[in-house]
Amino acid sequence: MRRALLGLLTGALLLAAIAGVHRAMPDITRRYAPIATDGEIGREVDTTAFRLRVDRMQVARTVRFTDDLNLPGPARTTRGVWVVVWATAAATTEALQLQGARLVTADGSAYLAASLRDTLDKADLQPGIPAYGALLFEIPADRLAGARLAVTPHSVAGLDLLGPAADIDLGLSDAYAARLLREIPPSLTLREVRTL
Amino acid sequence: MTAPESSPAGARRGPLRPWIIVTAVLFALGTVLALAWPAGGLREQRDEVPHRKAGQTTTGHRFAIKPYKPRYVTKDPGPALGDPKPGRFLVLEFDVRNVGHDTASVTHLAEDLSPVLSPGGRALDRFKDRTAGFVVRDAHTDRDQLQPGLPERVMMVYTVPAGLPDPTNVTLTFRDHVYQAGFQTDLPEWLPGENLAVYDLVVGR
Amino acid sequence: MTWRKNLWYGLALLILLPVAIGARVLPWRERYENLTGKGGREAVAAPGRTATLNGLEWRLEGVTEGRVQEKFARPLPPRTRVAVVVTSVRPLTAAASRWFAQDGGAQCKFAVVDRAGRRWEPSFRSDLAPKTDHAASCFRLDAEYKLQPVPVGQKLTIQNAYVVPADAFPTLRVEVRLRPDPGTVRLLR
Repeated sequence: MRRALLGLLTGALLLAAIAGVHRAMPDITRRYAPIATDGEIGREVDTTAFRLRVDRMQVARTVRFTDDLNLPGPARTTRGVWVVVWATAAATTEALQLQGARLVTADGSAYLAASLRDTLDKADLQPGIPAYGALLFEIPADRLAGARLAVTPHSVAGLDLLGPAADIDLGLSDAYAARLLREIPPSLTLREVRTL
Repeated sequence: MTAPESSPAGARRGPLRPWIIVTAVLFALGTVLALAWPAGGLREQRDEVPHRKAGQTTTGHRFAIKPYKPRYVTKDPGPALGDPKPGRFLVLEFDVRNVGHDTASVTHLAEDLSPVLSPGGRALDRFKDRTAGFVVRDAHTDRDQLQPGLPERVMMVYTVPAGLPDPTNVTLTFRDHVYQAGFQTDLPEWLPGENLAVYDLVVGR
Repeated sequence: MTWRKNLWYGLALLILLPVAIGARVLPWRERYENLTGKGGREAVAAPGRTATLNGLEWRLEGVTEGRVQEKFARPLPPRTRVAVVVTSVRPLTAAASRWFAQDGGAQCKFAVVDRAGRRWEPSFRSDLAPKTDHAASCFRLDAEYKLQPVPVGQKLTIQNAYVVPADAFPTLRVEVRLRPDPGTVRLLR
């Protein structure tokens, strides 16, 4: 009788332990998520595959791209606001691109960089040859506060599982975001990416 | 691991005891329920897909769309390069809102749309018959991204296959996209969902 | 008595666990090698010597410094130099000769690697090296732009230009990753 009770108790305990481990285990997207290195504006982030330094962040109602003669083209509009992140990036050992540049807003939505033009995320980055340029995003104005920059080499998430990533705090507090939106310029001109 | 030594050999081979049968039946029932639950439980299967008209909104898990009246035109409204070429085109236009959590493209939306022309009853293929799809903005056709929470007007251009009469009606089925674990991996991805609505549209010109 | 029995179970576990892990991991290895071009067989040529892999004899013919050929061309990134790399490959067997004209074409990925392990792929710019008859990769085309086998014993010369940081130029060596049978040829300088 005592043995039976002991067996039951052990079984129950083991079952509880299994349930506990199951609960404590992070979900599969987090387990396979890219391995992010944290950073902030003005500080270089060194992942294993690339280095990235965000130099400045701006917002604008419209953007213009310069042509071959450096003249600004027509204004491109958005239903939300344009967020322009100026950054310097370089590959460490092998050439890559940063096509997985995303603005992740406080509600968890991920905004992939705009596909409009050859911005920094489309540039071929070579080891030892840093490039400077803009990352361009389009988001609803009310999601600006709390947005962070998440950068991986590929736009398809499946290619970045457990891969290198930079996660950069853009310092977008409620007050700062509100001020940026109050003082939003009607237009910004984006020059093409240049190597440094 | 081993049987207690006091138990006589052969005691295990007696007739099945009732509690074993009860447990087995309960186990089988439990398995059926456990498998059926994630697939929607034992409720009756959903009714037929609703029929809608132009101007009515259908919201899925990835896109909410509101189609306009389709147009039949003989000049390509979205040429990839150079001047518009003559031809026979069906133009579908929508107000689209990305209600998902990540960036989508017009190509993803095209996966969810199955237009069938009448007269002729011919389905248009999104690979073979679709010639363009873009966000209508700034008088350019170079934008295809649909960002979460930013409504856009989208134009889809299909060629009307040769040999078919000029279309007067389009039956457009709008299918859902759901974000869930895939067939090959447990990682969630956008997968085709159920049909959400059938739009009965009259073609203008 | 019982602890000895447990010991056997423990030993069995020690053997079975690595076997189970191996059975899961090893089938992926080939896929990984095919996908990345890493791994597989390797051949290294000492400076001035040849390396042979799968019946192909590779040689580094030379690395010279190139420059932008046209006057008004796009300038190079600052603090970079152009490395013009000429390599040659010679099939020694009939199978190796046919390798050049197989379905889908032979695949060689050329790259230069510096002492620190940094890696650069050929530049797409055609104005960085003097014009020659050399191939751009391991293929030879006939008049109709169809792939042709390279006859046994005949040399195919390949030229590529690389834009590399100036400090990497002196220590560059050449690496060719081959597919579909994964393999890597390293040509030292």
